[in-house]
Amino acid sequence: MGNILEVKNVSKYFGDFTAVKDVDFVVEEGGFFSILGSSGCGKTTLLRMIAGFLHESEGEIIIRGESMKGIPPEKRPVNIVFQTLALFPMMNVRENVAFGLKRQKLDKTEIDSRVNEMLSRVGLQGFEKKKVTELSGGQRQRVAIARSLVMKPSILLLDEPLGALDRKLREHMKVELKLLQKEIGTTFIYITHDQSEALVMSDKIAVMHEGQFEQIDTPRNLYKNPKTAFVAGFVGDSNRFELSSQEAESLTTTGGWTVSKPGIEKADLMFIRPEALILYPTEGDNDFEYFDVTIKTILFDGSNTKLSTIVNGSDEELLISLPQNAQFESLQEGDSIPIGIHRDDLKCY
Amino acid sequence: MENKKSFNVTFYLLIVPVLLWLVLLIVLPHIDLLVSSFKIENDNGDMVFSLDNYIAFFKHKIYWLTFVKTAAYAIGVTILAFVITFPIAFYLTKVISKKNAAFLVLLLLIPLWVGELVTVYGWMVLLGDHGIINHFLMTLGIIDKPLNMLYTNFSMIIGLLYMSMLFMVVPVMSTLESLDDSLIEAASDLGASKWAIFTRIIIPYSMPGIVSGAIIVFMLVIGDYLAPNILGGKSSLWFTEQIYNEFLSTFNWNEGAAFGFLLLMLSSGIIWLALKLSGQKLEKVGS
Repeated sequence: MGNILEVKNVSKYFGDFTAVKDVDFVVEEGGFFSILGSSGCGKTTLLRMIAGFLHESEGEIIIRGESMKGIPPEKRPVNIVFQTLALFPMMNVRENVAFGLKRQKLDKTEIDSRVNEMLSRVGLQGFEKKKVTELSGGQRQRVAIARSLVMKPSILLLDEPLGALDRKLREHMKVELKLLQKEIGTTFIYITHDQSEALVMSDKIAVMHEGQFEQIDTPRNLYKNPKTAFVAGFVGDSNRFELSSQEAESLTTTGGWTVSKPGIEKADLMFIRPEALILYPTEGDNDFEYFDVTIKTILFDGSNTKLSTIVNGSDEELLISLPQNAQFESLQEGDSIPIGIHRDDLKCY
Repeated sequence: MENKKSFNVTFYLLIVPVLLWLVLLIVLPHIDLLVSSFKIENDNGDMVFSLDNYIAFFKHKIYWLTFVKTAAYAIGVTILAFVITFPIAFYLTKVISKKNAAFLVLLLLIPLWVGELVTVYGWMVLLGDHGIINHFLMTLGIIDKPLNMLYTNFSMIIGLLYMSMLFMVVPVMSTLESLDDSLIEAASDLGASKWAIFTRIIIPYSMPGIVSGAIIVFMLVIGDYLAPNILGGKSSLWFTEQIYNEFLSTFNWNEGAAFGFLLLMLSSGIIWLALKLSGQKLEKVGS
């Protein structure tokens, strides 16, 4: 499949401030592409440039092989689902969804059939005459998506559309959105600060930081092999250590914990995922680092329960995931337990 | 129980002034006017029930012509007020910063501080045969005889517009303020032209504000006396002037009362029609 969107070395300046800096990427047709970043990282600016509400200061945006330079939003083959949804409050569900088609001056029977098809696809048949103000959060969400998708855009842009929903509904809509995208096959570009949304739904994720892309990768790779320190710290939970000295193949943290990692180049930081640490390991594997920790507290949080520990013989604190099964039920504060970690899981930058 | 009782006392204390105001100043005088509008003096000097006051209105062309003209002009001024002020309200809420807008709104309000009479005289100074506008036009050699602007329908409309326009700006601004900019962007994203955005999104969204502004402007204009009397000429009779004449020139209070009621019916009827046509509800417009 070809690339539906090419963003070539795009920058955006607001006066002295650089909102987007030399961003360069492609999106494959039919993919679910997410841009993940904290607020103010420039992701919304980038999305608005693709939609045509802002003009890039440098670089070029190409959709389906055509440059979008100078083409206004209403003429671009993209549609956007706004963070606020921006449903038209004076119109009912049907009028909202039909708005774009009416602007194209299509004939009534075609408008009706496309609106009906789209409403049934998002599970809103029977709601045509309802005012949008009478709908629940999830239903409003679906109207907004239907209103954009009915235009058959090349790309659907979504600007944190799940942000306003409560947690339960958000979990549900995440799955629903992913299934909808698979079913209709439209390319989605999804902007979010919520890494779980990005990880669950996307085929590819770009992590954005201070106007630049840190890494573009599949969710699994992004999590397993973060390329930069920022990505390692931003995506998923991590224990972060500053390194004070490095000799041959051993690294020492500022807290005085030494681990060995063969073939390591110069590094300043080390990240360890809580779930990469194995409790009571079977010793003897040369690829593993073995050490003991003392349990400080048990942070109970259901399936996300962690042990807060101190590495024996140092000041370093280490969070370790604690599987909620019978094997580890007897663990108590103050216990000293053996830990093992594969050296590949010591991520150094 | 205790609580409920004290609530009741507060409630009555608060409602009494409102009721007094309504009953003494609005309901009772109107009942009195309504009753007297159905009475005439017979040959013996006694007041008797009659429809003559109303019949007289339809018999004399000058009365109902003025009546129709007043209604038509009031509607026209209301529409003009909307056309002129909507771009201003849009500019103040959507184009410039909030801080600048607050200052400009303050400037807009200045004419209200000096009162209608002063602004009406201001217009006389501007529009008169030897007024500022004619003076400039003649000095510049654009015209050689003064334009006749004062004491015409034109000057009357200007006066009515000037006095009532602000009452359109304020409610329209308050609805436009609540209009989320992303609605405009969403419409544009869905392929709407500037004109379609204006007619399909902005106008329908601000309809409650427009209608409530229109009602205020219309009521002010149709019931205004000063501008038509001072700025309007002999040909620009206003129905309020007819009422004034009946009460104070011919001392026919019964006829005047009938005219007053006809004007009340007229304005209520037109507002009802306008609400029906625009699909708005009075409760929504009033809020």
